[in-house]
Amino acid sequence: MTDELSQSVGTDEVHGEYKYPFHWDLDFSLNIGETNRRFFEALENKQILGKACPECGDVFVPPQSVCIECYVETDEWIEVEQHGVLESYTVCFFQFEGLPEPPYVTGVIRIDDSTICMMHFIEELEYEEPMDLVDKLNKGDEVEPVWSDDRDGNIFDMDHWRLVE
Amino acid sequence: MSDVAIAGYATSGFAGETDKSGNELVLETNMAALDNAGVTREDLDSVMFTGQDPYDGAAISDGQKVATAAAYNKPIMRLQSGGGAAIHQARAKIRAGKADVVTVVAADSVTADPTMLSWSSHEALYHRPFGMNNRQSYGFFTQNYLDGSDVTREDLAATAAKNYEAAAENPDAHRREGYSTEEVLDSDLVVGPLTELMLEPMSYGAAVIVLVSEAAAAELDDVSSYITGTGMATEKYWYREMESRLRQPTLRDAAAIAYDEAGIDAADIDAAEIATYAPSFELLSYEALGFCDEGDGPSLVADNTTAIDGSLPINTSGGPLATSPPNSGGVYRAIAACQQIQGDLGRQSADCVLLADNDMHLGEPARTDALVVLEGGPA
Repeated sequence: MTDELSQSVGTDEVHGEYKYPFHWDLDFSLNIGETNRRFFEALENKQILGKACPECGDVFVPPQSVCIECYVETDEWIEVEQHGVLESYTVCFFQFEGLPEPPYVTGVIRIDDSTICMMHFIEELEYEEPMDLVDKLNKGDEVEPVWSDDRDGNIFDMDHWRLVE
Repeated sequence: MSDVAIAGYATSGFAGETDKSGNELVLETNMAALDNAGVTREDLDSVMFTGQDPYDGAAISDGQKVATAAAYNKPIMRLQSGGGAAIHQARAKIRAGKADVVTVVAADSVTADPTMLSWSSHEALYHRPFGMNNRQSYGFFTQNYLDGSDVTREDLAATAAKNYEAAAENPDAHRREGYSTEEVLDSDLVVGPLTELMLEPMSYGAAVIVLVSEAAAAELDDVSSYITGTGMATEKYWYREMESRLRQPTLRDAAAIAYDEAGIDAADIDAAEIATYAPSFELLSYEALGFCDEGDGPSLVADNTTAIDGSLPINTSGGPLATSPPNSGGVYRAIAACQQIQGDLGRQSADCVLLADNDMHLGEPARTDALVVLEGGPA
């Protein structure tokens, strides 16, 4: 039944009689700025940093340069505990360019007492059937980072996160 | 201040592919809409485009359709927050006395992989490395909903099946197979608890709607419905935060503004077309729009309240699960709402129909909601 669906049609499915294929192939570079740079540099040293709002005291991990509620610049850097709580998660069952072979789990993680959350892969989960992964985790589960041996200042210096035993 | 009527509309109908160019789609649909409204190119004061570059495969893509939209030498504007937002702005222009006749134009014709398109629009440092795209965001939302409530995957599937039952009667719908709850559950898993039939398809086609001032409406033979209230809201939604999202604060805020302006409350609404890209959004929208108390969303599906022949039919067109053109979805949903007021869609008459649209086709975070209250007869 699902074979009949045309959920999405990729550009590789070209019908030459009425379609003219083309693609955009553009390189972009992102200026990451001082706030992000300091966060990524700390990851190389296995540290997780956040920034705090001087007015309301909210802590943001990953760091934000402004508190949305107070609209003031965050000015205090804080090294936070390497402990997270899973706010949500989802299991991806489709192959995505440049990403792991499915199924894999992506979590929305609240680190220490951060006001906001960040995303990362949740690994080291045992399962028999791919669908088992959907029920493997729960909102509120405690997680911890697993550091990569080869760190060079990016988000994958934390190789993945896993459940706290 | 002038009230605003919908004098006419047209749609090409929608399918999984089209062999027409964007200009061909816009030309034939726009001509049909102007004809349906009883106005000409000379009467047209301004054109609102709704669409986004990624879905057109070109920058400033509205500029390429100026001629076919009858917009040459007329003020033209493009809004990227969806058809509901474009209607909101078109109405504002008429109410401000800047125009008497405004069209809202949208088309989807360029084929691409929608997962890659939505991925490329997400934040690059913290989200894109993990494959964040529209489907992932729907997965996070839905898993959060299931983990914190008694709602089941069967409830989600029943909601989708309810929409497919309605779509089977709609000749403009893309998916018209009438999939059952079991078929929805058995379709391929895509992300988290969501299967392929719990997620919107990529649809192609065009939709145009013609808005006119009260003065212009008085000179026309047939005006289908009036806009009596609109509301728009954007919230922080905090890209990395989940806690408040299930309440859909922007939908609530936009509804409060629209209801207040129309002088109605949720009980006055006969039917609604809601931009719900997964069943979880629909069930929680029932709460956010005031159709039920917290936690009661699934019961409205279970007792057929929101079915096509229920007392409050929701997504009589089949909704986004049946038809989801990213550029023209909001305009099409407005057309479906008008068709319900005219008795051309659904199984019962409707005097007051709510359109709830948003820009969530690229993903759930950082969302803007736009609501429009449509009522039949003179305002």
